[in-house]
Order: sequence, then structure tokens, then C-alpha cells
Amino acid sequence: MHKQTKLGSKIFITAFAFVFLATGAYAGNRRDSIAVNYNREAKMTAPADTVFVSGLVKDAATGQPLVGASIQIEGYSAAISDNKGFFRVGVPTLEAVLSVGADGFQIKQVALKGRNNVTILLYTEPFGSVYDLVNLPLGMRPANQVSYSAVSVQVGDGWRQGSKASVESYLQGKVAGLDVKRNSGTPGDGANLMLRGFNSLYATNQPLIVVDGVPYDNEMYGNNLISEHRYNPISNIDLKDIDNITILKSGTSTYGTKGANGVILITTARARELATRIDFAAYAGFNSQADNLPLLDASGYRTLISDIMGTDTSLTSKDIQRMPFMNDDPSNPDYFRYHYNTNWQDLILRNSVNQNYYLKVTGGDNIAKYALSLGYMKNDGMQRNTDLTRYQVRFNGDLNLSKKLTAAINLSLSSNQQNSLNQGMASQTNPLYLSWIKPPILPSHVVGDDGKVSPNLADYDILGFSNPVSLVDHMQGFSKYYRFSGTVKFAYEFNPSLHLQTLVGVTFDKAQEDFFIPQSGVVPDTLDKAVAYNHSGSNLQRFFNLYNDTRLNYDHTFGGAHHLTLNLGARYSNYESEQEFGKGYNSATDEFVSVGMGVASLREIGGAIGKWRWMNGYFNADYDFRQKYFLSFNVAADGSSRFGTQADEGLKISDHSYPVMASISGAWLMSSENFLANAGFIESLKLRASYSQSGNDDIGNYTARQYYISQSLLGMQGVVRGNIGNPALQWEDVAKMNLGLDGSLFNERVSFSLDYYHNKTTKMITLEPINTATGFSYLISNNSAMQTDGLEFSLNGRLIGNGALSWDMGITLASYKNKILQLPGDEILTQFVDATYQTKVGQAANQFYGYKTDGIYNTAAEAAASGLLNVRADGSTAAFEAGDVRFVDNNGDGLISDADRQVIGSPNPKLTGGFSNTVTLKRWKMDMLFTFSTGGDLYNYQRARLESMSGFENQTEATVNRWRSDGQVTSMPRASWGDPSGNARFSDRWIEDGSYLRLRTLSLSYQIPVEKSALKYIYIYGTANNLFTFTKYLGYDPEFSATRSVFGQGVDLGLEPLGRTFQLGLRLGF
Amino acid sequence: MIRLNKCLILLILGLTIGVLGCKKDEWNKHNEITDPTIKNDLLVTIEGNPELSAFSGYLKKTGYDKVLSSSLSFTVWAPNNAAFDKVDPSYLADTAKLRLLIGGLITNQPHFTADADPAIRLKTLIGKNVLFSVAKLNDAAIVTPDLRAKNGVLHIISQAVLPQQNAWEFFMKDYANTEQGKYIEQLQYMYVDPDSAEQIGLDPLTGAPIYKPGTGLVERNRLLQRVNINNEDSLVTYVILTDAAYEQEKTKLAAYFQDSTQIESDSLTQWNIVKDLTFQGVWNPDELPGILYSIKDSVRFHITKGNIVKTQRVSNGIVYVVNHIDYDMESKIKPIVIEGEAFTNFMDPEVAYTIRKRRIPGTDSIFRDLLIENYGIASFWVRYPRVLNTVTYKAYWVSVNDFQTGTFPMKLAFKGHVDTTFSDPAHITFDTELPYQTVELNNYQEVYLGDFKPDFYGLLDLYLIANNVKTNGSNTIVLDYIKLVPVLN
Repeated sequence: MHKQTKLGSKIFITAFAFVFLATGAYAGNRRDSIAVNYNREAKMTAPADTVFVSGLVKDAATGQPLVGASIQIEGYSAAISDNKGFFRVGVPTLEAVLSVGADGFQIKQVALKGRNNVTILLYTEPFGSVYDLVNLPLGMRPANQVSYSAVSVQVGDGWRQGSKASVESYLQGKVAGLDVKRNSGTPGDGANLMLRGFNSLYATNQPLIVVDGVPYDNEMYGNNLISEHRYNPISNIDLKDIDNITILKSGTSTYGTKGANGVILITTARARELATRIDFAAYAGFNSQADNLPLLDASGYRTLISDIMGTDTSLTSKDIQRMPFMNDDPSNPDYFRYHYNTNWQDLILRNSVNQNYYLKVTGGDNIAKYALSLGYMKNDGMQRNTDLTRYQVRFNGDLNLSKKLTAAINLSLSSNQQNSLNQGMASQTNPLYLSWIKPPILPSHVVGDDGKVSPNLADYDILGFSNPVSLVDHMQGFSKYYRFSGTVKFAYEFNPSLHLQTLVGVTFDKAQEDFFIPQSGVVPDTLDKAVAYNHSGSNLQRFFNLYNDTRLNYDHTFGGAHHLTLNLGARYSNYESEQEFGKGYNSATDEFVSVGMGVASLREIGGAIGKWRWMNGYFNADYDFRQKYFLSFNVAADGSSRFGTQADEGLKISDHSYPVMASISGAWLMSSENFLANAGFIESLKLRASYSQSGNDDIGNYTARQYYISQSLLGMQGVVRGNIGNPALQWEDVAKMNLGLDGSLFNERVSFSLDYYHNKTTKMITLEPINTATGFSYLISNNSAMQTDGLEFSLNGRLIGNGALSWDMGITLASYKNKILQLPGDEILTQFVDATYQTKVGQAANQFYGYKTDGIYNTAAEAAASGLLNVRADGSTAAFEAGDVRFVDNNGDGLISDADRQVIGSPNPKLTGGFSNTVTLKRWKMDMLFTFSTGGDLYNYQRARLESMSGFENQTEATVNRWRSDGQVTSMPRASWGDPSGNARFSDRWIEDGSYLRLRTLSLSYQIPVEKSALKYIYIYGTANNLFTFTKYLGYDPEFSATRSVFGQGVDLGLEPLGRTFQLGLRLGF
Repeated sequence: MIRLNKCLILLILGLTIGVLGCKKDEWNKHNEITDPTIKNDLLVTIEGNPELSAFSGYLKKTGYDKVLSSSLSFTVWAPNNAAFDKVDPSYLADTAKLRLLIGGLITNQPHFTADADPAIRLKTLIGKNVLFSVAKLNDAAIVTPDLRAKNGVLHIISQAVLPQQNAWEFFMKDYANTEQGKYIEQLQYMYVDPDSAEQIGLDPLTGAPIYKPGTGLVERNRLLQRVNINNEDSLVTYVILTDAAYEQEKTKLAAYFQDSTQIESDSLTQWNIVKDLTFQGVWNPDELPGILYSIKDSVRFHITKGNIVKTQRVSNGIVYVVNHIDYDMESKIKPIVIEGEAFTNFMDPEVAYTIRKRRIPGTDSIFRDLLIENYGIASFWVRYPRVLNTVTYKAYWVSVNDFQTGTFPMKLAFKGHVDTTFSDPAHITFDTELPYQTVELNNYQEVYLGDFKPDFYGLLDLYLIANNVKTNGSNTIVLDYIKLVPVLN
């Protein structure tokens, strides 16, 4: 390979022959290996009984003949097309497959199917083709030879996406069956990834992410002090650093008990050529403020609360008039303080800016190639005083240490600083929530008796609401996180067929939080021993991982027809995590924000530590005959420190259980059969089937063991049992059956992929209720099962494709059905905020379980006629009154009680997918990606809190419609203090259709023509995200994910929404 | 091609702008007001109703239009135009009066007829209460009830409800010249109210506030301090006696309230007439019960419809003028029960005493009594001051000797009340003494002690006196209670 630099890059296809002839170097890349094999065989003399095939190679877009295209039979012969695009090549048989490629064009496999004259059309790269190489865990293969369900995404457009895109959000809508739900609009907040629904109730459902061969740990270790703040490690990878993402939906057995939820393989970009290239990009953008929720203004609010107070039996009319905000006399000293019309949302939210600078240098020589990138990003949050700043550097190097030994190095370091605020359930310290409920009649600043406004912020009000402005201005929610990951891979070639490679990866991650909630403007919190006026906190989380993957690879083609690949290897991973936190309270002033300044007796410290190990021995055999029939077999045996010593299943070796996970798959490339030789419109048609076993080891590091925790009793410190260890605890088993059909028609103008799958989880972890006499409420055991059946479809087409204008369109669709097969007690009810989920045998998991409603009682007569009694939490009953919600008495016992709950919705979407368009016109390029989700229900908890009309919280404008008197036709129930009839309980009133169609990304790029100079190209990008969303959902946004747990999906806590963002970018190439 | 570009961009832009508002539409649909009546506030609703044009005009004239268009919520009983035709035009011409009229038809907070079953009393903006029932406001019929508005509710009534006087206002206006009125007038006095007085400084020596002279002076009436018939928030039935009935009462009661002078006796008698003429609640003439208990002293009255000369509804109840009043004298001149343990003092404060808790064997009821024994003083006394009428009282006691085998005598004595201490407590000259009476063993019954009659109405000290010996066991004092029963004619 060291002679490569001497050759001109434009003619390298033809020159490859000589280069590789001379060196015989192995490049570890399928594209190269084609050339390698071709060269090797070209040296051989053609056998005497050769059959010759002639043909023509043309540019698919223009129809012009392609000169210098290479045509070869793997392991047999090769040819180059002449200046009219013609070629003639010897083949062993007319059953053979030609590999055809040209510089700047795709590489294509052409099955002869008995023909001796073929016309071959090649598309320019990049083009989503069935011949593209797919990155698989153990190597690369052309897509039309893969027998598992795998989707490869070439991240060619990363530059056009701007800085708002992260790996997970980029994948949204692009891969059928990968449901990406972004957590919230908070910068860097990440997404909930679900590949083919879910396979577990209590263990993780996140796919395994593997970056450059090393599993990338995307978990958080420990709890954050900032409410609903999440650290999302995967966001440390800049999209512009990524070359390819492969989503492996089945055939993940090689990862053993980590492969249950599929695998996302990410390959970062490496230097492609030796010439030094410098790319610089700068982006700046604008994040628009979310649309304000339509809340009551001061007058609407006052009318509402006077109605609500009117129903409070402890208040007389006089008491109500005595409230300072009910006084309309300007001479009253309180008048000015309570006669504002503050739009609190506008005081918290803002339009903000984002910026991103990125520099990439690639190049090298024939000994070493490198790719170095540097990035800086600053993204301001939607709430004032929130932002995320990230610095990152990545270095990827490839070294040819000797003819036989190569090395690849990946180093990346990123540093993040984020200012965030409490969100979600922290009702007194969450400024966003406070900005909705805070009475609009109140001012944000201190106001004197004479109406003069002080520069000081107002304290919490007499109604007991904190001042959101004070929180935004003075709360400290600062977090810093760093992640270093470094891998080095050595590969040694014993001979062209036998290779040994070993990879060592180290990941170090540290996240730190500094937290402070001020006293000023915030309602004091009540602790066990004291009243907390201000809170400070410090939190540190560390993660360390050492990983090794060593394998022996054999790859050989026998007799030009039998291709066999064997891999034998082992993986080892050692994990350590720890968390330490300290909390302090009541420091002398709000200026003292560290834990040490708090009152000594109230200080709290705590933490957690985790250490676990995983090893995995694997074997793989892939065989294909004439690139027509493919068989693949994978098996892996796992060892993990997490498994119990008395696990039922697995291979037992000296008291330890090693689960053996196997998979087998086959594919038949029907289009290569002779009988389809005349069906010219079929480019490729592949039928595939696979069955694979995999597992889920997310069962807790120490759950299988008995452990003790410390306990303080009256100042005496001791230990008590922390759990009931279950030595029989084991991994969850997930068996995946997959049937698929991949096709490509009309000379690859249209391609599709259809998959049916059936996943079955057995030995699923559940929390089994146990006798309370044990002192514990549950035992973790493997005693449930469920299955998921699904269909996926993707279709891509090049609608227009001539030289100047091309229009590619793609659509992905996915649907799944989940069913619980076995559960202890046949049913579990789980709670997430006010929502209850039912998971029951025979039904899908996590169904919303609540009350059905049927309007309201419009008259007292109707209420009386119903004869229903409401059973309150304390067991007392009361009749419903006019204006109450008409709950459905499901069991007909005349009581509205817990027993009347029924399934009222399901957060699991019925159909998800995306719709993409890419239009290229000369130098213009436009991408348009729509994503959609239909059939999923959402619990609008946000609205449940804003339409409950039971306290002093401000409410939505819809509450103007509240029932007021007999005969009023409305669906909004009456306002009532404390909601004695439970009108705001978890019912289908709050369940909304979460279907949406969103213009996820719209980007436009233009390449400015440049004269030949040092500057090679200039691109200008314009990107808009979340431009519009069609939805009936009334919350901020139908796309959110408050938790990764199954039992929390679809509950809208009212996190920062995904706003519209606009970006302009400039890319310079040197 | 460039044209195509532009078209494409325009198309995208158009699409974008066209759909940006989608989200808002969903909210608008959700927030859309389904009931058109709650779109407008009360003022707009009233102005929009042709039947209420007169009322609407008066609202503007009196300034209540601004109130009704504020974001506080109200209930308005609007008289229709026909109702205003019946109102005295001079009343409507007087803005001050009109303000009272209009303000008296508005209350804070929405009140629907469904809330008015049973009827509720509501305070209007002028401070007067109105009685709101399903079909009526006071006596005015509700023609159209429950018209919702954004900030409250509107009821249309067929008759203008003029502000009512309360019992006191009615009495002082129309009956100040009756005997009863003249007497009550005498009960007025001036009082300095520190809350309404203007403070001009502090006394440098005492720190007490100094008020500006002439401020904070409030006129009060002792009758109102006892039963406040001027309070809008209470509901009373008040009785006014005709002069003849008043005289009759004076004659009837004079004997029981004798004092040293005729004027004092007369004043006392009259006070005891007027203090008991108020009854809790509104008792309509047709609903008068056989017995009405007066406020505070629970005198049992028997008011019959036949004696009622005039009935007047007032804002805080009802007032009757009667020509005769009937009540149980024993509920007016009540027997007096003096619990033994409720003593004021006794002869020698050093002496120890016991308050026992005892059970009556037959009935198992519990009582407490006072026991003083083994103190070695002769003629030891315990004092109980009480207000007594000038009537003959029969005296009884219950004195249970269940703690020793020997009996002992005790007696009662009376003397005009003194506030000062005695210089020689062992030798007091009593006005009246009843003879010694032996306390028998285990007697739980009342024992008759004799009669006596005070010379003057007022506070009298009653003494329980032990045996005139120092022997322990013979000079014991034990007393459950003393009962004085007036002998009435």
C-alpha cells in the first residue's frame, strides 16, 4: 500500500490492480477486498473451459457509457470497460455473479442468470442501493447479501443537519421500526430509542449502541439533583463525525445478553484519502420560543378563583371579599400588588440562539492516516439562563505498522457545561410549571403600597406559589460532564484468508452537578427535621469501562462459488460506576451556594457504587453459494457477574451459569436465479428468515445477591437487609423470529424492504409481590413472559433522476403489537405521577388504566338520577352533584371506585415512521423529513393540572366553559375547591390522541461555485427543525419521553417542548 | 430551472406559513366557548336585554356599571322595566337612594337558584341582607332565573326590592316615642373607640396613646350590647310593646325589682322588661310556636297571633308590635341554685377544703360538693354572693353527710353585699339568719330550711355557717348545693 500515493487518484480503479498485485495488502474493507481478490485472481491464468460474457456499463442517470469500470468475478477473473463502456470477461459458469464498480459510482453485483450479454447501469455515490456495504458486528457485507434484518444509514448529510441534530434524533423516521422519541426540548436531552417496540417491562429497552466496535454506555449512574435533568452520553458524538450507522434488528446473538433490544452500530469517519483536507463549518441559529399555553388572564383568573373559593365551605363570602386580590379599591395598600396582568410564560421563555463551529482535518500518508475534528457548540435553552456548551475533539488514526500488522486508533474527548432548571414534578421549584399556574394578577417584582415597582424580585405569594422569575434568575443548576473514550485495534494478517484482531477500549465518564435553590421567592420545603429555606447540592457520577474484543477471522472463497467466513472471538468488559452526592440546607444567605455552607445537622450525604463484569465468547459462520444462497450461524456464551448462581438456564460451569445464545439465518437471493433472468424490472429480490436468541442482562448489579444497607436509628448506625436476594435470578431471554423480503426494482429506482417479526421474551423480570411479613414488598424474579409481533416496511424511490435534477423519496412504516403472556398474579398496576398503567396477561403492556367518562351532569336532576356514589380515598361516599364528571360505573355497583377503572388508552403507537424527500438540482439540495406517529395515546398530565379547577393555580382558557348552573351545555365540569368529586382524577378526559405528523427537518444547501484555488468548495446550509406539527394533541408537544421506563411512556409532565429552530451554516473545504 | 427553484421555495414557504398555526387551532377548538351566555360580562348581558333597559340606565347613573364589568363575580337581581314603573319616582330621582336600591340588588359571588333551596340570606353590596329563595328575592318574584354571564349570574325580578330597615332602624324610626322606645333611648351612652379615634401622640410617661379630642366618640346602646338587633347578619324576631302593654309589664314586675329609690326601681323594672324581647330567628306570625325562648336569659314567652298589632318584615328578621305579652314568670324570676364548690371565700383562707366527687346511690348520678372539716374554728362561714329579686325565697340545701357517723348542724345567713374584706371575719352581723338545721346522715334529698325575702333587688351575700363549736366532727361543713326558690304569685 505504500506505493499508493504515487498514483493519481482519478485513475486509481485501474491502478488498483497493480498496487494490490504488488503489495497484496489487506485493507479490511469490502470495497477494497473486491479489488484485492480481483487482482489476485487476475494473476492466475484463466481456465481453459472459460465461458465469456460481454456487456456494457452505463451511467444510470445520464445513460452515458462508463469508461474504466471494473468488472470481476470474485476469485476468478476481471476486466475493465473500454472507452465505449464495453467489456468482455471470462466467467466460470453463467451462474456467476459479476462485481462491477467505477470511481465515484456504486459497486454492484450482477448475477448472470444464464445470460452472456448484460447491460449494467451504475448510479453515482451516494445512492441508497442494495449493493451498499452494511457494517455488521463482524465485518461488512453488501446489503443484498445480509440474511438478518439490518438497515444501514450513510450519514452523508450530517453537515446539512446543523448543530441541533444528535445521533438519536438524526435516526428519527429514517429506520422502520426504530421509534425515536426525543425526551424534551432541553438541549442535549437525548431520546428514548425503542427498536421494534419493547421486550422488557423492568429491564432496559434501549438498543445496544456500539461505536467503532466498543459498546457505548449510554446510561446514567445515579439520580440527578436537578429535576428531570438527564445526561445523555451519546450526544457527545457529533453527527458530522459519523460515517455510517447500522441498525441491527435481528441476529444480535453475538452480543449475547446485551443484544435483546437490537444493536446500533456507529462507525465514525476516518480519513478516506491521503491528501490533506480541511473542512470548516460554522452554524448559527435561532430557537423560537414555544407557543404559550393559552391560560387565563388576570380577569379570567379572578372570576375563576372566586368561583372556586365559593365552593370552599370554610370560607364565607366575607372571607372571600377580604382576600387582597378581591379588593378593587385603589386606595387599599394591597391594591397595586394584586392588580397585575403578568404573562409569566413570557418572563420565563424566550427566543434563543445556537451556534456551532466545527473543524475537521483529514489526511496522511501510506503509513498513517488521520482524521482530526474539533467542535464547539453552544445552544441556549428555551428557558432563560439555560444553555449547553460542548467542546469536543476526536482523533481517528489508521496505521500500517507492517505489511501484516495494522492498527486503528480512536480517541475522543468531550466536555459539556450545562445550565438547567428543574422541570417535571418539582412543583414549587420548576419555573416552567410555575409560569403556568402562578396567578397572573401578581407582579414579578416587589411592589410598594403606592404602586412603585422595586428592582427586587417578589417573594413567594400568599397563595403559596414560588416566583418563577426568581428561580430562573437565581437557581443554580450547573452540570459538567466529560467523556473520554479511546480504542486501539490491532489487526494481523496471517494470510489473505486468516486474520487476528484485538481491540481494547477504555471509557471514562464523569458528570458533576452543582445545585442551589434560593430562599428568595421560593416556598420553603419541609424536611423531616426542619424547614428548608434554601437547598444546595453537589453530585458526582463516574463511570469507567475497560473493554476488549479479540477474534480470529477466516474468510475464503472456494472454487469461485463457496464463500465461507468464520469468526471465533471473545469479549470482555469491566464496568465501574459510582455516585456521591451531598445536600445542604439553610445556608446563611442565598449567596452561599455550596453544601458546606448549609446547617451542619441537616446535611445529607449518600451515594452508590457499582462494579460488574461481562464476558462473551462467540463464534460465527457465514456461508454463501454463488452469492445466491446465504446461511449464517452465530452463537455466543455469556458470563456476567450479575447472574444468580442458581439460574435455571445456561451452561453450568463451576457454579456459574453461562447463557448460550444462538442464531441462525438464511437468505435466498431469488433475483439471481435463472428463472428471473427475463424479469428485467427486478434488480434484486431477496427472501430471508432468521431466528435468534438474545438476552437482557439489565437485572441489577447485585439483585441476585443478598446485600445489606446502612440504617440510622436514633443516632445508632447499623446495617439491615437491603433486599431479598434471588440466587435464581437470571437474564431475560428474547427469541426473535424474522421473515423479510428485500427488493429492488426498475434498475434500483425503487427499493423496498418488508419485515415481519415475532419477538418473545421469556424469563422476564418482574417485581413479584411477597408477604409483607418479610419486610419487603417485592422480590425480583424471572417469572413473566411477553411477545411482540410487528410489521415493518420501507420504500425508497428515485422519482426523478437525470443529471441535473434528482428527487429521492423514502418512506418507513412500522407497527407492532405487544401481548403479555405470563405475569405473577396475571396483572400488575403501576403508577407514574397520577397515571395508572395496567399490564395484564392477554393484553398489551402498559395500558392506561383509569375511569371512562361520559360528559358531565348538566343538571342536578341528572346527577340525582344517576344514583351513583363517589367513593373517596378515605372510604367515605358522596353523591355526585350537578356539574360533576359523569364517570362510567363499569361494574354496575352504583359506586364509582377503583373497581370501575378500565383500559382507557395505550401509549404504544400503532404506526410510526418517516417520509423523506431529497431533491437535488444542480448545486441546490433540499432535504425534507417528515416523521409521524399514529394511534398512540398520551396522558396530558399538564392539562390535567391546568384544568382541575380545584385550587389557586391558574388554569387554561378552556376553564371559562366550566359548568356554572343547571342546564348549561358544556363538557367542562364545575370548579370546586379541593375537587371533592374527583373530577380531575386519572380518566379519559386527559387521554388524548398523540398522533402527529411533523416536518422534522427541512434543509437546503447550496454549493457556491469556486474557482480552482486553495478553497475547494463552499456550501451554504439553511436548516429548520420541527417547522410544523400536525396534531390534535393539546400539550406543548406530542413527542416527549419523561422516562425510559415502559411504565411512564405517554405521560406528559410538561417538559420543555421541542421548539422550532432555524439555522444557517457555512462550510468551507480546503 | 431557476424558476423552478423559486417555485419550490415559495411552495415550501407557503406551506410552512399555512400550517404554522395548526397547533393554535386545536387549542382554539378546545377553548371555544360552548355556551354563548358566558361570553359577555354581566353589564353587557344586562344592556343586551331590552326588558332591563331601565335597570341598565340606573346602573350607569349610580356607577355600578363599572362594578359589574369588573372581573369580580356577582349575582344581580335586576327588576324589569315594569317593576321600576311601580317605584316611587322621587325615590328614583334621589341618587343616594337609588344607589342603595341598586346596590341592594347586587351581591358578591354567583348564586344560582339551585343554591337557594332552602332559602339563603345574602349580603348585598350596601351591607343589607336579602333573602334569596328559588322563586323569590325577599318578596319579589323571580321572573327569569339563572341567566349566566361571564362574571356571575343575573336573575330578573318582577318588583324592585327596596332596601329594608333592620329591626333597630325600624324601631328607632317608628317607635322611638313609645314608652319602650323612650326607655331604650336612655340606654344610649358615648364611648371612645380607640380604633376609630385619631391618635396624635404618646404619653411620654406612660406610653399610652393620646387621641385627638372629639375623635373616636361612638354612641352605643346597652340594649344593643346585650342583643344586637342592629346587626344585619343575625336574624331576630323583635317584639315592641304598645304603651299599655308596657305599663302592664311594669306593674307586673315592679314588685320584684325594688331598690332604694323609686327611680332606680323603675329603671330596673324597665330593663328587665326590654332585655328579654328578642328571639333568635325569624318567626312568621303563622309559624309562631307555643314557647319562644328569649335570647340570653331564655325566658319562656307565649306570643299569640291575636296579640300582634302590627307585623313588620325587616332586613334582619321580623318585628311584632303587641298589645299584650305573656310569659312564664318562673322563667323570668328564676330559682337560684348555688353549687357548694362555687364559693367566693370563707372565713379563714388558711383552712383546707375538699371538693368531693360523689355518686348518688339510687340514681348513679354524679355530683360534686364542698367539704370543710377538722379546722377547729367555731361558726365558720362560706360566702356566696348572688343577685336576688325582691321576692320571698324558699331556701333548700342538699348536704350529704356520708363521711362520718355523727351529725352536725349548719345554717344560712344573709347580708348586703360588701366588696371589701372583713376586719373581723369571726364576728359579722348578718341581716337575716335562718335557724341551724342538723345535717342528717346520708341524706341526698333537698332539705327545706325556711323563707326569707331580700329588701332590695341586687347583690346579696349568702353565708353558709357551721356549728358554733370548735370540736372536730361537730363543726363540719358539707354542701352540694343551696336552692332558692322564689315564691311567685
